[in-house]
Amino acid sequence: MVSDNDALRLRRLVFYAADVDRINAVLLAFVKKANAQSALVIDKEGHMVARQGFFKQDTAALSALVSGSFASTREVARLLGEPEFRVLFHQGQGQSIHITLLGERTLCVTVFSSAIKAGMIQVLCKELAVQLEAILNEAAKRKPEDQEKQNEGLGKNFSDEMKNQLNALFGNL
Amino acid sequence: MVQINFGQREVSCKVVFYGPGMSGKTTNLEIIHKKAPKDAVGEMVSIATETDRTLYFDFLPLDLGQVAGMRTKFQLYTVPGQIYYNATRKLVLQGVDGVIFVADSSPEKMAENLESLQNLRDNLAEMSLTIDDVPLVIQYNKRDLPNAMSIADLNAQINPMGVPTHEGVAREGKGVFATLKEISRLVIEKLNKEHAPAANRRRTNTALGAPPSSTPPAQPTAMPPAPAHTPVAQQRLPQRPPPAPAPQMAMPQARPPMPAQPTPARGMPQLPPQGHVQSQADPRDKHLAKAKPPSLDNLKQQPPVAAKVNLGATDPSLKRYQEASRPGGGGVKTLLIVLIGLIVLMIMAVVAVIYVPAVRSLLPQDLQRALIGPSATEPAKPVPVPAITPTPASAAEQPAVPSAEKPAAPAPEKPAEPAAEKPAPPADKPAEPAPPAAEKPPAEKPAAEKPAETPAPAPTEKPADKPAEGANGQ
Repeated sequence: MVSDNDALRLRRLVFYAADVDRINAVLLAFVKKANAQSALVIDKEGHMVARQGFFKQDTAALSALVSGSFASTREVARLLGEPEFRVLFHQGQGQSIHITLLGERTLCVTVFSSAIKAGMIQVLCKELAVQLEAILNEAAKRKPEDQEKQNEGLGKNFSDEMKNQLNALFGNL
Repeated sequence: MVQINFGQREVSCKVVFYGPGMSGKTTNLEIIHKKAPKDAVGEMVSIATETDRTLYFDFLPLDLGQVAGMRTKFQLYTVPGQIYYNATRKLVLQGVDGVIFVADSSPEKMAENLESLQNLRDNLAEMSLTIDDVPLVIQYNKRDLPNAMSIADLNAQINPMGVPTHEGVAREGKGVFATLKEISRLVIEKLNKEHAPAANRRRTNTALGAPPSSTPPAQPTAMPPAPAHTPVAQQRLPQRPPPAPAPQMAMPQARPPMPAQPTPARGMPQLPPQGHVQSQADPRDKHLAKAKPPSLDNLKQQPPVAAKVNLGATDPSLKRYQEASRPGGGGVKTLLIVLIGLIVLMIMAVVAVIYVPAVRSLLPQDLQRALIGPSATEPAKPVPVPAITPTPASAAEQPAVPSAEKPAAPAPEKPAEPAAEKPAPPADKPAEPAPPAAEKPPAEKPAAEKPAETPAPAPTEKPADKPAEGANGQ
C-alpha cells in the first residue's frame, strides 16, 4: 500500500539547492579530472538537473534527445532480457557522449573529445556514478518532515504571475 | 512530471501534443516555433522520416522567463500519430504534465480521433494515470475545412469529460497560442496546488487520498475511468519490485522516493552558480537574468568547494595514464628534457677533450690519438714524409722528426689563423711542445733552403708559405 506522501513523491521530482550544489561540485571535479568537455545530470523525462563544463549546443535539446535515446534502448534491453541498459556510449569523429544511469530516475551525460580514451571516461564515470547516487539516495532518504520545516514552496502568487507572463508573451498572438 | 529544481531556480514541465496522424500536431509546434518571441523558444528538434512524418517525436523548448523567482520552462513534445508507433508514443508520454489533444474536425477522421483518445487513456493507464489526472486541453483543428463538424457534435463525441476546448486552424496559426496558454495555465495551477508553501501543503497532502489531480472546474465529477484509477494504481505499485522486468513502461514504481518538500540552501557547501563554468549561457538568459533570486547571490560569495571534492582514490596507474593521455602530458616532456640534457653534456665533453689540454692529458695516450689523431695526423702526414726524405741530408736532426709530429698537432688546427700568432700557441702551451717548436724553425729552414735539392713539393708548400707571410708581416 502506498501512502499519500509516497504517491505524491512518486509523481514529481524535486531537487533542493543544497543537493544540486553538491551534484555541481562533484560534476565540476569530474569534468576537470576527466578533461571532458561537459557533464550533465538529467532526469529520464529530459529535464536538466545540473550541468558543468563548456556547452556548444542547446542543453534543453540535448537533454531531451539523450533521454529519448535512452528510453528507446530500453525496449532493446528487454528483448535481451535486461530491465534496461545502464551505460550507453556514442562515439563520433570529434565528440563522443557517454550516458550512465544513476539509480532509477536520473542519467549522467558526459560529452568529451574523441581524442580522450573512452576507457578512461568509462572508469571515471563509474566513480562519478557512485558519488552521485550517494547524493541522490541521501536526498531521497531524508524525512519529508525535515524538509517541510524549511519548505519554501513556489510562492502563493506563482500561478498569478504565470498568467501575466503568458499574456505578456503570447497575448497578441 | 514536473521537475522543480531549487538549485537552479527552475521549474520544468512537459507538455505533449497528442492526436491521430495528420491532425496537425507538428504544425502546431512549428507555428509556436515560428511566431513566439525568439528569446522564449529554443531550437526545434524533429526526429522525422524522410517524408517529414514524425518518427519518434518533435521537441521544442519554451522558456517563459522568471515567474515568482523561478525560471519556468515548458518542453513541448509531439508524438507520432500513426497507430503502429504506439511504443514510441508511450515513451514520449512518460512523465507528462499536460496533454493537448489535437483532433481533426473532418467527419471522416472522427473514428481516428476516438481511437487516438482511447489510446491516450490506455497509455496513461499503463503509467497508473487516468485522463483526469493529467491536465488536458482539446484543440479542434482544421476548422477551415468545408465539411468540418460542428463544435457541438465534436464535443459530444470527443469531449464528454468537459475539458477546455479551442478551435484552431494550425496551418494559419489560429488557436495555437490560445491552446498553449490554456494548458500552461492548467499545468501551473496543478503544480501550484502541489507545491504550495508549507501551510498550504499540509492541507493539500491530507486531500491526497487519490493521486493529486487538478482537474479544471469544467470537468464533470463522475467519469468512467476515474473510479477505476485508484485501485489500479494501488494494486500495481506494491506488486512491482524495482528491478522487476515488467513489460510496462510505467515510471513511478521503480523510482526511488524523492524528497517531498523544497528546502533552501543553507549551511551546505556551495558552488558558485552555473555561470562560473558554463561559459556559454543561453542567449535567452539576457532578459531572464534581470531578477536573480537572492539565494543565487549568496552562492556566488561562497568559495568553490569543488577542489575539496575527492572523486575517490584512483590507483596510480590510472593517474599516470591520465597524465600521459593529456596533450603534451608530463611523460613526453620530461623525456625530451632528459634527452636534450644528455646531448648537451656529450657536446660539452667532446669540446673539453678537444680544446682543454688539461682534460685531454687525463686520457690515455691511445685514446688521445684516437680522439684527436685523425684531425691532427692528416695535415701532419706530409711532415714526416719530407722529414724522412731529407734524412740523408740531416741525419742528426732525425730525432726531431718524430717530435715534430706532436707540435704539428696544434699547428694544423690553426692554419686559418693569422700566421703571426702561430708560433706563439705552441710556445705558450706545456713545456713539452716548446723545444720542438724551437727546433722547428731550423727544421723548416733546411726544408726551405733545400727546395732546389729535393724534388718533394709537398713539404715545401706550407713552410714556404709561412715564412713568406711572416716576411710580409714584417
